[in-house]
Amino acid sequence: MKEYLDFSKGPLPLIEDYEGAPFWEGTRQGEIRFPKCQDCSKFHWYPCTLCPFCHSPNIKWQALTSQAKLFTWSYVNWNLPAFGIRGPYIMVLVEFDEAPGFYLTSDLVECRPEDVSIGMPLEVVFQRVNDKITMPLFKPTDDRQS
Amino acid sequence: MKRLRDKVAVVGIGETEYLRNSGRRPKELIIDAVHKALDDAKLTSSNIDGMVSGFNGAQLFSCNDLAYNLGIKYRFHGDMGDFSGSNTSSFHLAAIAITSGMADFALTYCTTTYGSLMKILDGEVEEGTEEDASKVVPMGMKDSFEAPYGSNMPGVFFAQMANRYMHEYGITKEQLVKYLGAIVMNQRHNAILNGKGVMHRQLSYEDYINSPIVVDPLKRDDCYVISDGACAWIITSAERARDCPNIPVYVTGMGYGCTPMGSADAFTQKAGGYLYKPHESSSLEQALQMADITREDLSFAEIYDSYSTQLLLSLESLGFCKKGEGGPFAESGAISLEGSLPVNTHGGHLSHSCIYGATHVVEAIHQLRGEAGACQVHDAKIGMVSAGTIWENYVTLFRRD
Repeated sequence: MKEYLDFSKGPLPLIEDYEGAPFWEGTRQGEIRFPKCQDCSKFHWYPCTLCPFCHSPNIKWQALTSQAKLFTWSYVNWNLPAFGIRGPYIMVLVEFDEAPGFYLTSDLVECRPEDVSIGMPLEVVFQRVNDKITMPLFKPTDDRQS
Repeated sequence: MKRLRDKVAVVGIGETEYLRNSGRRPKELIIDAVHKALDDAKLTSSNIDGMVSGFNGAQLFSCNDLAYNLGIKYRFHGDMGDFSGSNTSSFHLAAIAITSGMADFALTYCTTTYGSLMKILDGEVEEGTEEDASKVVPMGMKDSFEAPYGSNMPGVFFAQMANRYMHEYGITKEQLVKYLGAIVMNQRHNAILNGKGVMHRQLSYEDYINSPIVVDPLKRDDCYVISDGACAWIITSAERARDCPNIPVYVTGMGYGCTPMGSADAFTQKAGGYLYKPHESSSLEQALQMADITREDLSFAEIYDSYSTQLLLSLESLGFCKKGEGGPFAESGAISLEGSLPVNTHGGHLSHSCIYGATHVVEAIHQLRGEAGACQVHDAKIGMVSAGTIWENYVTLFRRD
């Protein structure tokens, strides 16, 4: 697995004993999983105890398979080690067709800041940080580059 | 809520000096501000019988500890330390306490010690000390799902909003920089006239565009200033206020709006509105209704402004101009001291100090008492303070006779 970014100095996600843990189980298996209400069939993000649409407790995590698009972004080009910030990098909010109105935060890789545009299609790539943590990152879809 | 109109009034305000790296502890700052508020109202600590703490007040100096230090015996206590809206939310709680007879004189205090915090980040102060208490706000899932990507700095969120805003309204980066520059320069101008804040240097448009980028398109001067300071104010009934030496400044309207959202949703989800917060306009509508006035009746507006983009979006959310038109509105001079809606007349967070909106309240009182010096808005009669978080907003309207 390719190393796109250096995660060794910044904070790492909590991956056990909290309501977001199934997400990281998914990334270890190469999937982006969101919580989905089994009653109204809608995905939501961030994880909730009850479905924010129909308030059902009947929620299961499922893989997202739809197109990801760039909702918005920021180019961070400075360093503040106490905050775990080590630029330059491009942060993105990613929206999936299956979960409109919910945005996954990530970093955009293999893309220059001048080539970023809102709405551009993205594909996920995974970077293994250690045995337990695999970070999902995004890059422009291949057909865009061709 | 109309029956609460003009029933309580501010009779005393106190503020410390505002400095970067004051070297003063939060408790010292708070005591200084409270003493000044008591002196201003010609009251003593024995008159205070209600305590309403604002953000970072009670976290750094609990009400009972402060009362122990000052000899206050109180029979009402409420903590409104709910993030950035707490400076204005204190009026809601104080109004309930005073009009129902649970307290006669309520004291509110707020502080920020970001100046000292920066010393901690620079490694000059040992962690775990009192100054360190405001360093970490546990963000729950944000720690796992956002911080590892480098987002744990609010500027990142506001830069993301700025990029989305430009996209949605077809605004170029050159235009946005001009609009934000108009806001930043206006507030710097006011801060220099005010003279009590941390920024005293003139800022030309050229200086602004050459200011270092923090998170593109936000420049250093688009961000709040780092400062230490504390504010305090004393609220009582309208009847008692008329016996106090200062011109009473009545709470004539109060509004609260909330959009329920998940604890991690702030800044990065559509819940609560990504660019615009519906509760911002609803809180203002509620306050206007209580006061039975319209936006046109406002002499000035003090609006929470940690980033220039935040103020730009709030001008639109609050309905002072159409969505997407906050930039031309700011550029037109409408928000200047001589404009149709003077905004952040003391310089706000961008150029005066950042005490979580507390100085916005103090400035509103100064304006309505006619003691705002070179920043005085001509014939100021009714003023607005608006502050909140991503999920809620408080508006307080103040009036003088």
